[in-house]
Amino acid sequence: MMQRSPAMTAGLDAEPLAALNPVRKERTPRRQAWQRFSANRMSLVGLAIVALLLFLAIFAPLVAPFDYDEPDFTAAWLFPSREHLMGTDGIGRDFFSRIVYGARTSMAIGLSAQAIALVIGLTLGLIAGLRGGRVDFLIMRLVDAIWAFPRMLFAITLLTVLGSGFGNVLIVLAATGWIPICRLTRAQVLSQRERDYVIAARAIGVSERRIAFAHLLPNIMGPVIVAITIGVPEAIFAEAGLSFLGIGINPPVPSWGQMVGESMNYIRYYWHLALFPAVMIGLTMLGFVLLGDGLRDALDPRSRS
Amino acid sequence: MSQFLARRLLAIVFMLFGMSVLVFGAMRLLPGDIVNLMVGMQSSASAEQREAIEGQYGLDRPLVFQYTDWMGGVIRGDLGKSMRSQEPISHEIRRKLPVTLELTFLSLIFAVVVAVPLGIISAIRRNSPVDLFARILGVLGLAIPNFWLAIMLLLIASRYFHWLPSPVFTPFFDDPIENLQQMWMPAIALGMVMMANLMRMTRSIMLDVMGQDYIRVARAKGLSEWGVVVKHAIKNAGIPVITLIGMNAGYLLGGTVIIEQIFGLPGIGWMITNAIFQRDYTTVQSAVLITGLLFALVNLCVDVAYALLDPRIRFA
Repeated sequence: MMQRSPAMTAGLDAEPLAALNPVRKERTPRRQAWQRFSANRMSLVGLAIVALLLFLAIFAPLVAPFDYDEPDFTAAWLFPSREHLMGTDGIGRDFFSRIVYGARTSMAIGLSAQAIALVIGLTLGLIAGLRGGRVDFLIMRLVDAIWAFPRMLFAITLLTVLGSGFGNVLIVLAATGWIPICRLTRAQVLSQRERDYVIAARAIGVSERRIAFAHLLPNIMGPVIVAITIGVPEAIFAEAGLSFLGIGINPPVPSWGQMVGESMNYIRYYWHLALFPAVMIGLTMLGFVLLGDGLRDALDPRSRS
Repeated sequence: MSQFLARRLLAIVFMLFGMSVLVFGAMRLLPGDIVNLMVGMQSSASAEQREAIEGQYGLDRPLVFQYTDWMGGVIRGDLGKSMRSQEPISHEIRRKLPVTLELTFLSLIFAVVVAVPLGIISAIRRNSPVDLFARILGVLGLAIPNFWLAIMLLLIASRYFHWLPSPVFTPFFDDPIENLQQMWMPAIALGMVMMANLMRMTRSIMLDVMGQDYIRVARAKGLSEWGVVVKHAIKNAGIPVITLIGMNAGYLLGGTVIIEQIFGLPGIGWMITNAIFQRDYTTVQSAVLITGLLFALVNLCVDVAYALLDPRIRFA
């Protein structure tokens, strides 16, 4: 991800240098980035939280002791106990199991929305930055038009058109999520495209497509990766907000936002129903914020202190 | 400068045009139209009745004409009438926009008043208890979902202080105290994320500035630490912080939808969501356009202020 393109180091004649000084070989940019990243304990905590959430999401069926949608009317409204770690909800579903499956929903939404956004944003950003002119103008006006629309309103409008549900939430979040990535990519391309390594590549006849993907892309990935670690929790948060309003994920699929929304009416009596999902949303945000901070310090040379 | 403004205003016009097409299109695509909702449950509603309603709103005309009718009105300053209440939309916006603007403004004040001093102090006293507190607050502020915070504030107020704001909204100029009692909780819930962001940014910018050569020079020439901070550091850290405040103002404006819903505040986000559910096409279109215009103007002001504050920035 942090590898410099061959053209960039061409002027330095990298290989003889490395032969002269074998220690240099170990200080690859990627390893340096990892050293900077792991030197900060908080970013490791963030990484651990995100890893834990991913684990819960992937192995939800193994972790959850009960089915997430199996009502047990004899065990409704239970407070946390040894059998039901986080109690049960109004129709006796094990709340811990629902929380675990909620991780799956959140992670799936956050990661896939951001993956789609990444593909669209990178492509359009590269095109806008490299082509310039009328293409750039059109793409950037589209970006402005969508960005000027408050995100939540955009999502609510589209979801009433499309109807609620996992797939549509994904579409709506991807439709707005690509904007910051596109802007960032374009800005990065603009700052890089007159660099010597690009000019050199162009001079020796490398195609524009190859310049974009083989030369520019690896050099602008650092900030983009940081933007993704900001985008994923934003998408998760937006999903929680939409599900909280009741137009996000459809029941019975559990979503933390939806669980908080449903428990709002009983919050005075059954504190656990509002607390655990909110804590999970908070934990997710916390994990990604710390991870993002660590990555920014490690990958973005300007912000290093 | 005037060329820059002209270009930006032109871009805003383009953007509003794009937005108007998007919203217009989205509203026509909504499943179930206003005619269905108006004839309601009467399945006996005849075709003539439907046609009469459609004719009344011009919904039987081709889409292009419907669009130009609406747009023509907007350009002449007529936002049209609500399909529901028959009231001019501009009246409703004039009633509801101030609520959203006040909420945004109060959140902004909360965020700035807490974040900027805290960020500066925690940067100067790095690794002190204040710094630790500020950093924890910064991370928590980002991590806590704002809707949950909103509910928690309401819950704590009612449970432990046996106090809840009046459910009927009072405009600020009718009764400022009553109004502020209703607004402080939504303002904190909405402003928390921005407070955390702003505080983190202020802190890191101040840390950055404090490491610069001119700070060392100021210290070397014997300036007191207080003088260094006030005269040199804050002045230089001010520009990026002010930009951030501006950028976030727009963000807050859009983030009010959920908060307005939880606290039952009759703002513009609430108005638009309601209109969407009622399929009140014209209201949604016009209200969204006004929000977009406001958003764009705020951003333009921020850019201009940025360029005026920092001589290195040229209007390009």
